[in-house]
Amino acid sequence: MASAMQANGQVSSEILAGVVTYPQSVIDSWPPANFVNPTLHPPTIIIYSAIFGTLALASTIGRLWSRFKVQGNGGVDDWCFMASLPFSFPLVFMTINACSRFYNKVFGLVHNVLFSTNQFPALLGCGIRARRDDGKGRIPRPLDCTRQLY
Amino acid sequence: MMAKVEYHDLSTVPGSCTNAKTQLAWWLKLEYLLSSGFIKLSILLFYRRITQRAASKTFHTIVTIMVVFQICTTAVWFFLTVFSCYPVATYWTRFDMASPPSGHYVCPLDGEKPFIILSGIAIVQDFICATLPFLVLRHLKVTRRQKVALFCTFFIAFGICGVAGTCIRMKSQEAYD
Repeated sequence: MASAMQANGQVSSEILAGVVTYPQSVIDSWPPANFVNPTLHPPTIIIYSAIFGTLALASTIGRLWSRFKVQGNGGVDDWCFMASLPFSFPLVFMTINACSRFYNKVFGLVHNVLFSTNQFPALLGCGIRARRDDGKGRIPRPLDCTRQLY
Repeated sequence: MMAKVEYHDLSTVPGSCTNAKTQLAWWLKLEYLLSSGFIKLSILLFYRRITQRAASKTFHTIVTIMVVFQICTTAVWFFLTVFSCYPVATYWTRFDMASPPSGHYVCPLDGEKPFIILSGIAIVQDFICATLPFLVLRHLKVTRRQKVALFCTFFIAFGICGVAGTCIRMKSQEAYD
């Protein structure tokens, strides 16, 4: 990338392909940005992750204990399951961490640029309201951590 | 869809914020694909193990093909995620408008299409994984009541994990916001 910022202050479209905007009337209807005391998202993901993470941990320990200790016949499937643990449990903790610290605030509209999927993680939680147009002029229903934006 | 683009104050977003969050998203993606890949592989190997003497040769062949397919898909998904940008670190530094990454970089695989395709493949894999036990249960010599109970148990897993989970994941990939 030669330069992200062009001389006129605009951002090069080279890195922002797929960016679309909403009509000004829609943008005007959004509430202003609030960095001081932003609204918090409901802790839905955190609760789900905590409940199912605990259940998964309990059932994993139960399975491995029964196969290796009780039956004493742990096989390649059990080792494969164990191989997933270094990734699955950090995933639960990182999801809880991300949703409780980074992705839990609704800052409001900072600018009216919409971003495609690959750009949104960078901007969400940084005070950017990133929305993806479905191409039919409709605003898609927000999912997961990004709920209640509108 | 491309439309008229208006840029305002993207440059005001601090790079420290965008870098940390994109890097976090990158790690979450990697952890998700590796954990789900190993878990699915474990389930398939478990099928192989419990039906070692009971199931037909065809069943074993299907399971073996699925194991190989699962390993290949996970490996492809892993490399697609890790090298979605080259150099790798530009995946999270490129949004830093104040000090963009120096030098040339490319992000040929950074987009939603490869991941929608892979999610579609994952739906097929989950569907086959969830269906395989029914092939064995059909010929199981147990009482009717036990058979119904076993079918119900597998059907719950089929509904929740096999279809609903993957479809929601694909939908979230498609309308990721």
